[in-house]
Amino acid sequence: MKPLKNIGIFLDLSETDEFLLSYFKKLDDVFEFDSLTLIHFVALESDSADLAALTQQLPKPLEEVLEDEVMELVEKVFGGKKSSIQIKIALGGKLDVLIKWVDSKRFNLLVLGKKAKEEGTGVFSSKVIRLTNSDCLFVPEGAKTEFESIVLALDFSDYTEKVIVRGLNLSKNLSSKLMPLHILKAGFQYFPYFKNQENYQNTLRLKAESSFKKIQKKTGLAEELICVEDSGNHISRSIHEYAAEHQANLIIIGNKGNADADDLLIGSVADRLTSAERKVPILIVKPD
Amino acid sequence: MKNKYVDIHNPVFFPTVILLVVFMAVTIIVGEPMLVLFDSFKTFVTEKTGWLFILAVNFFIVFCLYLGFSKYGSIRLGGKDAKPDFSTSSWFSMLFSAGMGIGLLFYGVAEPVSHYAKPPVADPFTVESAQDAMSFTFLHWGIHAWAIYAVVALSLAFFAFNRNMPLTMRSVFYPVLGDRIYGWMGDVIDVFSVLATIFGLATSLGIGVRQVSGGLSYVFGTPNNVWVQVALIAGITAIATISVVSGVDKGVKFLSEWNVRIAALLLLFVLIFGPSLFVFKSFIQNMGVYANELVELSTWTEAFVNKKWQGDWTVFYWAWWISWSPFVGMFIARISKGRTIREFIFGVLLAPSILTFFWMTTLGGSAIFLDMQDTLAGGNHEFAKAIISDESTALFVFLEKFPLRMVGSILGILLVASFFVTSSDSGSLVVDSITSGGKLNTPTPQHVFWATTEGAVAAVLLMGGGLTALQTATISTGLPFLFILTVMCYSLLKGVKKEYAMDKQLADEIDQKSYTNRLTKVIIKQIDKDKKP
Repeated sequence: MKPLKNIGIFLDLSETDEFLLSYFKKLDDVFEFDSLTLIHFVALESDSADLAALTQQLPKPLEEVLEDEVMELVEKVFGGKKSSIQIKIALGGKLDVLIKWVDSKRFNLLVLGKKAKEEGTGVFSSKVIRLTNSDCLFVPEGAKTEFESIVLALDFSDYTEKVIVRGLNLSKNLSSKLMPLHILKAGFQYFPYFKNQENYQNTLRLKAESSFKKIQKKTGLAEELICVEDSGNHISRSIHEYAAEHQANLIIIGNKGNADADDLLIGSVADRLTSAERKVPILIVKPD
Repeated sequence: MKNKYVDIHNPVFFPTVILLVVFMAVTIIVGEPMLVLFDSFKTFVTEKTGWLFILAVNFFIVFCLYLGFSKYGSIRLGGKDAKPDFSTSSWFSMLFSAGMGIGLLFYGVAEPVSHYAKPPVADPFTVESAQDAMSFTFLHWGIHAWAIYAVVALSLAFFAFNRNMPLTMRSVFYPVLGDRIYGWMGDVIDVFSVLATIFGLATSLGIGVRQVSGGLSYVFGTPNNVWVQVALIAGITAIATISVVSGVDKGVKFLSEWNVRIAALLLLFVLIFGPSLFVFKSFIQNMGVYANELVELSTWTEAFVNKKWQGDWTVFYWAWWISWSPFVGMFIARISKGRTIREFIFGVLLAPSILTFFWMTTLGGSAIFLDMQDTLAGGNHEFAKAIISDESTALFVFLEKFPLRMVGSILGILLVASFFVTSSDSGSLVVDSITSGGKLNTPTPQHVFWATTEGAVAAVLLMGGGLTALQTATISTGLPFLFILTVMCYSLLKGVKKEYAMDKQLADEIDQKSYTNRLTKVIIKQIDKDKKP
């Protein structure tokens, strides 16, 4: 896995921006990223009449005005200009063009914020998470800027190894405690095999543990696997509950599970988790 | 490897060349017994796996129709803002000329008459066998053939234009294999594509040259044997090569445009001097019967009566189209940017099929009609028997019934020869592109190399066993490619599903109201700041 060097942060001119930057500053202090790109998407396809009239009164192009605005914030948070910081203002209102640009930059991580007031993921953030090929860190406003414990949500799909490697990488630098978590699915069984529920869960547990051992060997992860029985709601709910109970500071999860269909751009667990979670940041790992 | 003379992708180029050389060497050294071997191999493949071809080709049609009718039909090749490069009418005519070429001239008369004289089910020389003859011919040249091309062409176009990957077979497998397509797995896929293309092409060139030789012998009485055919291959390949080397790209373009015009002229000629009314009437009737019997015909596997007819015809055709598919597919892909998947599917399946049906009715249908007329006048099917006695002279025997027969025959010979040149040239372009890793402009010597190799393979196959060898080569390369095509469908579906989901994400509105407020605030702040000092 590539080290975290090249980071993109999405800003939207709201109060969340300041929070997002200060959250990120803490990470930057540890990692000293090579390059930090602050991305702002001007989401208007055609200017409204009022806005167009206002824009004309501006002494300089809108792009520069927005750049200054972002720079002001950077100075406030980081205390002075940082040479590694670049600003990208995407005009034109074409999200597909922006996503293509983002993917061409091959960011190791994209950081997106989520407002405390908003229900759901936030339309823009949820689109970016779905469309880009880069890993996404999704930070709810008000998340603690601490990295003491990290939950690794494992389902033993193709992503699992990447999730673990990313976790190890972060924990090495932030000295966080890792919690490899696997949710045992509530038993859906097919007639006529009415197995004993307890046996069934045990079989699942054994299977998960043996898969985990293999990955442990490969990645060098020392922590034991934590298996939690699904409460019968959605797996995302069980992950959320576990993270809340153990006061995790970050959840790392793969983009898609084994059962997710081709026409889903993001798996149902990652999707529900990002839209429901209001305290813990979530890192979504994408395929290479 | 890249220098002034060659620009090749080694892991694809060398295995292909080595396999071809081994194949040609064995065929020449072993000699006569090779024919027996070819024949038994062909029988084995068609008898044991014929049903698989029948099943798979039907599946391709179902798959195409599914894509065409489903919501994915709205996806545009090249992205939602792409515009077609060609008008719809010129797109149709290019499609038509892409797929068939030499085969239409070779089998146009020979195939329907052959089914009429040696029918798989009905009694020979009856009204029933005549109708079946047209239905089977339509089956072999109709939407099944084009469904095979459509699958390959659509996959290539989708991954090249919507995903910006190189226009080569391995790109299509990205959703299944991921980055492994750049490794040995991708190389294997490309090697198979090249081999299939070369053998499919060699079959075309082989039957083309047999027809030229047959025609020359029929008209001028020159000898018609393998050596004349090999000499003709050498001669025509040399002409094709020279025209390319001397930089006369325009020559090839000129030829291929005139091919279509001369073919149209031949069609018109037969239509005017032949039984015109019959052609129009039977065209309508044949289409109706084809549409009505499509399912039954295309799933018929000689299960209860085994005359070994299907192996020579249907299975051979399916294998031939499959081995042609990388070649035709690449061409169709290149001319189809800017079409939606729905337009593409129905355009590719229907337009060229209907044109081909008309061609087959005009030539083969007329031949059957003329034979029936002869019989009413007291003949004993001499005309039909003369036609099927040698497929390579069928067209010329047929043209003898028409005025200006010398002119007609020479036109026919020239047409086949020029189809040969254009097929050989465009074929080597495709092979060249795949063996160089998807590049379009490769050095000329390399181009010459492939043109010569194709001629050589065709010649060796003719020497090593004539049409049987050609057919065996086609069928045996068609078989592995059948599996590649099936995986391709899965891969394409995966890609298309993701594309659709992404398009939908992009189409949904972003909440602009609160954003506009924030943007306005920033602008006003700046204006105020500007005013203050």
